[in-house]
Amino acid sequence: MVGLQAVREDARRLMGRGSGNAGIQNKERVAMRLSSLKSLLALLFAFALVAAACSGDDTASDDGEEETTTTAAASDDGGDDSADDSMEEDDSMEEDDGAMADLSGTTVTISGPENSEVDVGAMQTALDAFAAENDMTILYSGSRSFSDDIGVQAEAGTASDLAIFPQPGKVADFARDGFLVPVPADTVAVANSNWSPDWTGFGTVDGEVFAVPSKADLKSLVWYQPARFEAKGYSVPETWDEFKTLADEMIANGDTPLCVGIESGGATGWAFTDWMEDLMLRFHGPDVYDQWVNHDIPFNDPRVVEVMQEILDLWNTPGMVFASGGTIATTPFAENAEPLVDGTCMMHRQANFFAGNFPEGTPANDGSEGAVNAFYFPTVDGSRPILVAGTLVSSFRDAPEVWAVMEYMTSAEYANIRQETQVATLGGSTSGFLSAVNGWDSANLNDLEKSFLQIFADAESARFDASDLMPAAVGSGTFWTEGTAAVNGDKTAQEAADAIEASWP
Amino acid sequence: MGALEAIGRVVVTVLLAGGIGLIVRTLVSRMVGEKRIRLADAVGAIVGLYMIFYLLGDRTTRFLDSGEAAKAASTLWGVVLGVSVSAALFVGANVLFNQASKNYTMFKTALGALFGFVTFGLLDGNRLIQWVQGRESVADGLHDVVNANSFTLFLFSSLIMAAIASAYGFAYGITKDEPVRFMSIAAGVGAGLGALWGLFFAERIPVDTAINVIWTPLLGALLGGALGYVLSRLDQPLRLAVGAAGGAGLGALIGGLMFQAVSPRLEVTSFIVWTVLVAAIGAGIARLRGTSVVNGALTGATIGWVIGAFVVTGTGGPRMEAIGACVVTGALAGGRFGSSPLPSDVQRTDIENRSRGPIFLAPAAFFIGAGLIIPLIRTIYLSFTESVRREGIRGRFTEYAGLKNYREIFLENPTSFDVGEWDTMFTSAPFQLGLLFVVAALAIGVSVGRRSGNSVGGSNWLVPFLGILALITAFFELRFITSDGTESAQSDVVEAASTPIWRYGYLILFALAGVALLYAAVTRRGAAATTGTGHQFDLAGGQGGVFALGLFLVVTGVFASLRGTIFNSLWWVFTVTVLSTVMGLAVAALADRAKMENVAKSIIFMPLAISFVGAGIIWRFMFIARPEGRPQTGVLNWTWLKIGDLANSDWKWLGVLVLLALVAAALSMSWVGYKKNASGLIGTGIGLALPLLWLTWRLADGRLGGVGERVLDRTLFFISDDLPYNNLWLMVVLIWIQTGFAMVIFSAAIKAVPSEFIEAAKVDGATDASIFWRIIVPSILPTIGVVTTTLIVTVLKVFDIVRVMTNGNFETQVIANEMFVQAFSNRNVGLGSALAVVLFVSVVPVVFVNVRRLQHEEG
Repeated sequence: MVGLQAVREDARRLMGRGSGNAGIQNKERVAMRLSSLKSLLALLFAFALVAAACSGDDTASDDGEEETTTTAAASDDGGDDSADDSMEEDDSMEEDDGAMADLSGTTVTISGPENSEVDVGAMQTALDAFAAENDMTILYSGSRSFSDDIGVQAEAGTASDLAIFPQPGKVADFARDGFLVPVPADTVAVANSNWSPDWTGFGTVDGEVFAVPSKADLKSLVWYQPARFEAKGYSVPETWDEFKTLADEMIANGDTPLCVGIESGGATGWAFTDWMEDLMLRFHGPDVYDQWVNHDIPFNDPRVVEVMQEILDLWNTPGMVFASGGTIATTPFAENAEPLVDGTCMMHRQANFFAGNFPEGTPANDGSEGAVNAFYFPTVDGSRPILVAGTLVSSFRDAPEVWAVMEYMTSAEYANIRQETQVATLGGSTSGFLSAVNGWDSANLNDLEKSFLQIFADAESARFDASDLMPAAVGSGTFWTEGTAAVNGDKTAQEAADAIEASWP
Repeated sequence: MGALEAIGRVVVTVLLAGGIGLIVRTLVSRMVGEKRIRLADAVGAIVGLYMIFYLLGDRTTRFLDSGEAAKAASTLWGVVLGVSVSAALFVGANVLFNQASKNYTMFKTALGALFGFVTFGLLDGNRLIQWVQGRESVADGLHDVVNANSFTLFLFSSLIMAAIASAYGFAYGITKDEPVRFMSIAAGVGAGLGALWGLFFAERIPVDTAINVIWTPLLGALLGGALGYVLSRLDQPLRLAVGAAGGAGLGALIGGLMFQAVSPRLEVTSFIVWTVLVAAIGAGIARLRGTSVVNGALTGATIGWVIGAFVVTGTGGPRMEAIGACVVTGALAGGRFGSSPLPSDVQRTDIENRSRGPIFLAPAAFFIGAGLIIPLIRTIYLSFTESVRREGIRGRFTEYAGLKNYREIFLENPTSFDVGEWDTMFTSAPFQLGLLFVVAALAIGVSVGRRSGNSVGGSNWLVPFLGILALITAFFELRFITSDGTESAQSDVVEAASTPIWRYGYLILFALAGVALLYAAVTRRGAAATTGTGHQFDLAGGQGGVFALGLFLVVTGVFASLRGTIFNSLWWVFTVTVLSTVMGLAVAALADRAKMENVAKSIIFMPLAISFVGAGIIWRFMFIARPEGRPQTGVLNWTWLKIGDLANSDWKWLGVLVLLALVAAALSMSWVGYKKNASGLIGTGIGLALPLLWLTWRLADGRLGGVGERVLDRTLFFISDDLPYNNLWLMVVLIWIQTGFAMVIFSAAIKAVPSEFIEAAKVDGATDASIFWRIIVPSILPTIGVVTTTLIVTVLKVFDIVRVMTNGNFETQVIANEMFVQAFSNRNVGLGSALAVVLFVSVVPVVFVNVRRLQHEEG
């Protein structure tokens, strides 16, 4: 009952009972309020009395003298540490004098697809830091079926203030439909100073910026355990052929080469599309990849079907795949972390954020037994393309506090707090979080994460996740569902590709 | 807290609570017409309110501050507010129409204000208009004042509530000729409630939102009220002119405030044709009813104009067109209101009298209109449109697309409607097995019916019955051998070897079916001619069950051969409705008057308390499969593998013994039935014994359950494998839920069957089975109808289970989930709406039948 406290506080001061540090610090503010409310002063007294009588007493100290105005977001420690609270108040007062608008008392809601305990906890921690600084409240809620939910919410007018889209295609859809608010130039400038301007390019629709980056993902990775590879005499494959040869060798040795799972609630199938994209990039190069994304070539082009067939053939090889849900289509991709660590399977192709799924305390690339590492998803012809993805923050509401939070989410500070928190939550293992923000504190990164950045640096070409760029009806529609049908053996690659092509809007 | 403060708090709270309590008490006693205020009531109110205050103020503040409590509190407030608003609306409407005969000016002003309030509120609420200028600044200004601190909020809410309440009190007071007194009482109550609101809850509501919401409707109320006032004071011809001018002015304002995205693009032919056409219709109707032709034409012209200018045209037109369209609408409507002369006293009394009925019906009409008819019309409209984007304009525009969406559903998209593999039905196991059952049942029915009596005896029918059941068993085994083989590579050989024999057998059985049917037809004609009883087929005994089971399996086989969203939905309807009804009826009949009846029924009823989503998640866990060699976490697969283990251990002989004992029990049941001449018992006994025998044999042979090296060496992937029969595993979830529902209804119906009937039948020597089939079932037939139709509607709408369990993957898509995916995931609203219409159209006949039967029963 923050407000009530303030009411009571005001009442005390007005009645001449208020004293102590807090009162002196707030004198100016109170005076301001008084001037704006002069005419209502008489009534104010009467109601203040009532308010004081009826209100709760949750943080009052015993002598009723020292009280501070705190917010729900900022104070977790109640009234005992009133000195600390005063300090906090002090800080925010100083900030208020600066350029930033007064955000106190405001609330910003954010929704997004990241829903694991680790991700949500770290995001909320990073956001709370900003909220506490500015005396505001920021709430994040993550959902496994975010991409469906946000459509319903936008239509109903109940979308959160900020939405974290993993798909630029979706941003474009929502922007063109008039749901999103264009990002003001100031915020774009902040984002461009924090990230390479290429990234705001992903959020640019018809020449106007609608989304700014807050997270980057590297998708062309294969997870494995170096110690196990060494013990079995396997070596990291450099090319696609070596990869397949290695897999056959593993089968011959009685090992299961791959863990694959594509189940993900309403988004089931996306893990399959990642495989498709990585191999499209490798088999046919960035140019064909772009044509494919832009629908300059049909989806059932022989080259696309060929890649799909390649994957299905690989996965359907007897003994090739371990899927903890029995079949690939019923196994959540996150469930593949444990079998990889306990050696049930040898390799798992998944983006960097997969690290967040490993059992707590799993060491990363430190040479120890059981440590996990990731190698670059092998090339076909020696070129080094990478598949990247990321999350973009878009706004459904035009308000200073919303833009302030958006700016913060593109900042290195946000990335650093998120990184620290995720590492801490996971007991020191790899965070699963990755950012391409400038000023990213390398002290927070372990060797594995540094190697990711190295892969970024070594890449000859980089392409954004294709399904995220395609129109929603395909990118988060038939590409997922038809892909799942093909993986499950209900359709052939050709049938699935034909169906996807037919659904292209 | 200090003692002094505590005492002060108590005193102030008591005073405040007492004050409010007294006021409430006063108002209530006034309303019920009491002269005195009883002190005891006032004291009671004080104590009660103080308790609430005390609890809220001291104990629960921290709790209230947590999110859950705030939600609960706001829900509570919502309920209180909703009830108060409804009551106020109801009383207010009556009070308002009371004025029609007493004070016409007041009546018209209030009506105009109300109309303006609602119209502007609706337009604003639907984001059709915006408060272009001033809205920002006014809202910001108020925002600054109000958000200065929560203290002002508290004040603000008091004032607002007091204002609203005193307005209401004034209106009410007029009817009692004591407006001021009522106003002051109401203002007091309003201030009190507002203070409470402000104290505890108002700070949770963004005040600027509240102001924005209320601002436009208030403007509308002001303008509408003014127009109403002026109109009620003037007589013709000025009345017409002012009405039209005022309407035009309001229209200009609305047009000016209209959002660009929704403002119409005028098309000359469209609005001329529509206006003239509907005006002519209006005039014609007026002529027929003998009322003013001019007024009728004006009404028609207004409606026609609205259709021609707003409904059938595109959107996104320039502002001048919006203003023009709205001005004409307003002028026409205002002219219509102004064209009639001032009503006489008699007419005014008539208005008052005629208002009573509609006031009572208004809430129901509102809810039906708002919740059913408007969405329905809009959905139907949207189903004929598609979303398009326009170059250079942000926003989505709907364009008429004709039957495109329906074409896509029924013709172009194979995922919704696919009959391409219909011929596979003849090779599907359920179809063939079902056909056998049907043939068997018909044969028995014929042989029973030929003897033109109901009691069964002798062995002349038992021979074909046993023979056919044996054939079925043989077939059952044959099918299982072949289906075992289809899944694993090494047994392809088995399949290849068995296929010719199997085809051969199938042909023989099919021929048998034909012969039997022919025989039945011949016998029927002969029997009808010779005996004249008309009782050629007797399917009321055990053979009736076999016949129904056969039909069920045949239909299942047919559905299994048809693919696509719509067929899946129909399959759901068929299977879930039939099985839930049958199982619910069986449980209700068997449990009736049995020991532990209530316990048994409670357990079966329980799943009904679980939400569909929850049930879906639970069953997903039950169905889960893990790779071989890892612990099975799903109950069903664990059991399956354990049975497999048992079948390959020495313990299997114990299982065989148990099964054999069960077989013996079933056969002895048949024997008892034979002795008692009860065909149902015989049939049930044999029907149970044969599958049990088959299971025994499989177990003894080590081929039951998930078995290691043998043919069935795998876990079961209930929902992702064995298409399309995986659909059945999803349906299990809904059957699990709905059986309880059917059971409860049937149970009540069975208990309502007059016991005299049953006793009389017992005296006549009827068996339990014939009592059930010939007395109970016919008596509860209407109930069966209700349950079936309710189930059909429920099942057609099934969404949650599919969404949670497969999300439509693995060919399990149903209409409702496809509708959601299209409308919201793919944001293809037109196609989604078309699917919704298909769903609606398929529900309508069912509802229609239900309503007709209800009417029939009443008649």
